[in-house]
Amino acid sequence: MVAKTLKAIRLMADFLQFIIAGTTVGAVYTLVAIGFSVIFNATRIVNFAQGEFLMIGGMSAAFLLKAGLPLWAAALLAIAVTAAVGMALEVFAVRIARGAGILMLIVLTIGAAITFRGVAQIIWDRNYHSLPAFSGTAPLDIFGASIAPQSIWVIVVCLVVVAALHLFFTRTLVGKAMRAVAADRDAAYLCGIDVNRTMLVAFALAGALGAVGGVLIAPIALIHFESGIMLGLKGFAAAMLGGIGSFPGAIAGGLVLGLGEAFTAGYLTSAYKDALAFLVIVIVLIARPNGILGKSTAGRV
Amino acid sequence: MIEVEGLTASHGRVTAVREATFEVGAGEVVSLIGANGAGKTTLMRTLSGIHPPAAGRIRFDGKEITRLRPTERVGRGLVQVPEGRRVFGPLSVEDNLILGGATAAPAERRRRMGKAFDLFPVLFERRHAQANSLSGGEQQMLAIARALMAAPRLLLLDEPSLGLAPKIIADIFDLVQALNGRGTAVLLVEQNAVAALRISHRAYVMETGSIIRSGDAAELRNDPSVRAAYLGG
Amino acid sequence: MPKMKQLAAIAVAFCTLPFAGAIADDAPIRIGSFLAVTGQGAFLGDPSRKVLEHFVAETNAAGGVEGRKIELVFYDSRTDAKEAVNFVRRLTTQDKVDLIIGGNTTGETMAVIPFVEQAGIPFISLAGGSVVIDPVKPLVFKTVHTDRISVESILDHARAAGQTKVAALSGPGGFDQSCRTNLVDLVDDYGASIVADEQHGAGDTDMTAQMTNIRAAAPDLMIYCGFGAPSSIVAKNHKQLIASIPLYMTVGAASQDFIDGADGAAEGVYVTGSAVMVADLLKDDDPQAAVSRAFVASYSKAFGSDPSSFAGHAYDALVLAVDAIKRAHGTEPKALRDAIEATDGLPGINGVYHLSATDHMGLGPKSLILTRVENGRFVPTE
Repeated sequence: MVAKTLKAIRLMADFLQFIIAGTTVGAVYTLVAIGFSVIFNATRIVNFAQGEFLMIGGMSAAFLLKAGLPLWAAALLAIAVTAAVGMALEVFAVRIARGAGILMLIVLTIGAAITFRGVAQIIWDRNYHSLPAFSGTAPLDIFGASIAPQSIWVIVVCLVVVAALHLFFTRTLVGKAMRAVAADRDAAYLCGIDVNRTMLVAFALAGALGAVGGVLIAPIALIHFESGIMLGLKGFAAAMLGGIGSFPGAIAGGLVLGLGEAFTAGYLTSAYKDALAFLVIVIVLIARPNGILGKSTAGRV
Repeated sequence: MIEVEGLTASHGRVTAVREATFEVGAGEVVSLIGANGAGKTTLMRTLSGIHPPAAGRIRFDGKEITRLRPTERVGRGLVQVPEGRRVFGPLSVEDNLILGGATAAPAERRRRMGKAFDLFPVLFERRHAQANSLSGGEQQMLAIARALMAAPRLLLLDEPSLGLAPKIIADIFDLVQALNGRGTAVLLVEQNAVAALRISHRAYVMETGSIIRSGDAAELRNDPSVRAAYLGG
Repeated sequence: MPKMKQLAAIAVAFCTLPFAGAIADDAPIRIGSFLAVTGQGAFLGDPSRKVLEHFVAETNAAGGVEGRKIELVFYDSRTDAKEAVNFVRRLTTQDKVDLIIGGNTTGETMAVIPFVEQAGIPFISLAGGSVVIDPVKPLVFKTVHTDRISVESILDHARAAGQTKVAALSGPGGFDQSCRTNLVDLVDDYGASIVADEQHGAGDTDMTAQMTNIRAAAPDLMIYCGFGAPSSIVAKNHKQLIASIPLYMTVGAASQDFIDGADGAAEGVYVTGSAVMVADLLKDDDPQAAVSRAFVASYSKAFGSDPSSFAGHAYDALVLAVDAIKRAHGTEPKALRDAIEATDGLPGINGVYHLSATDHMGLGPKSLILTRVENGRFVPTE
């Protein structure tokens, strides 16, 4: 009887442990997914360099820290640097190729991603880099499960970022203008909204969001010039899962993917975890092409 | 107010507007009438700067604006209410209006919003509603109010009566006259040529991309060939 | 300057000519190399390239080998087996090299072997997998401890400590899976059993789920089969959840990057590795002490940082080649191959090499040093 109860308690603790693992990873996927959505909303482009923003943010922070900056300053400067890289991508590539079709622009972002990886290994290196955990590594115990302080940072910062973005998009003129551009670009032009500036802000924002993800994940998973590939892919999957362009969808997609991975690794085999995750996405996309939270477009004219 | 000279615009290889030359004077209401696909909407989009011209010149207040960006044209008082209303559906009525005044300073924007709500009390009542949830007539009012937020000196109105009930159409045309009475010039594209000509000073007739006739509104209204082609006999 | 070098070369050749009839000419020795400088294996290929270029230059500056300079013909195979094959064909047909040093990954190495055999020149591989030399192929040698030796060394230590219940965690790579296969294969011999067999995916950022399952299996020790950044993540997650279970890693974690990346969590982790990691801590009479200290000193001076354990692989390959060329008095393929196979008692970074017709690596389990991370560095265990 006692043994049975103990076993049940342990299974609950394990379950909680998987939830913690899934939520942490899911929060990072959410940040990447939101980056995808911000640019998609403003430009209809799927920016496949979003994962590279994460890599640039993490790598910049690691090297700024090595150069002697305090962690907080390295993190903030890395976010600013990556936002600038995002703006450069808009000004020097996307804007120039504006006349080309959407497909061409998407291919352009793939090219940009490859370029970013190449440049990163030239100006930095090919090694893995890490940041110290923001507030130590002593894990906290909750109901028999253990949570690393950095996981709390990831989840809380993700929530703060989502809340801040919500305020930005509903309370500020620039944020409203970005939603207007997303809703109807021509009408936005006719209102005198500076669509160019809006797109620039979108890329800067996506860059900053990616960098936040990179700085948060670096103490957990390390970062190197190819870190953006897999995280970008997972973030894209999360965005598609939730319905690209939707913020609640990005959160839902990130959480579903993160928790799905953790539970697969925990209860099934971790060997096919990625394959299973992508299989789920394919099934969801066939069943609900606009994502689990996406609205059907059939009724729209 | 606006002078257009030899304006040509195309969609790929198809020329939609061919060497259009016309003008709208200060304080005028001018109609552009013509069948579906005559190139009226492309012409309006070119005037606002969201469709690139292939040739020709546009002057506003005597100054060349052919190459100006849309936002700069709005800033000078050349504002369009697009065909199909095109309100920002997911945004609230109030946010739609705020964005209409994107080019103005905050204090001025608030002043204009007060005026817009005076003009359209129904929009004030529904200011927190999503624009999507408004009726067609309300959306048209919102679209016009949004344009008024930019303090237009020349208002481009593209098919304002499309798909609306007759009672509301009448209201809209009354409104256009009222706005004109306060000194706003209007270029009106309408399929409902009878109503358009009734409130216009002058009019141009467009056919397959070219302006084929022009004259006083009253004169065109009584012209047998125009009546036959556009006014339903 | 070039004139001086030429003069010196001629002088050397002139002096040695009467004594060594075997020297056919003073043309440079051409060593071909294909390395994974970019791509997944970059952490292996990049130090390999640095080491080869640096020590070839050093050898040449000291007069070369048998009076001949060494010329390095190098290609970046981008961790891609197809590219590796292309470059090996170019090395053997166009560049006409005398021997090949390269192939950082087992996959690349295995792919090029048929082409090396076709060309009939010796090939010293820098890959870890035991399949490279098992079964023995006449022309193929390697300087990197097989994953099997790593596993043996770990299980040996565990048996001495009375630990029998093994939890395994492995990554998706070829090295990882080969290591895991060897582990499954070997546990019985050491009176141990596997109680948990967890895996993780490529680019995974979190392995706490796997740690949770390992904790549930209550093992005596945990062995991680993998290399690169995941090793640091494993150490962190291990510390967070199951710090009391001893954690062992293979040569895949034998670099300072592992310790730095783990942000303190590497403390107490056992890592099998080579003399380069602990060069200054070796006893002076250790046969590897002199060679590994000289290597570390020269590398650090040239590149401003300590070499990773992986850097030693290419150095040993070069040492092996140079030693054999001296004994063969030249680069005639058959004689050179025989000379490499006859290497006996040559101290290198990865151990003292005793090659034979049946062993083309020549490193026993004792050549590996089991280290433990203490105060941020590897320390040899007794």
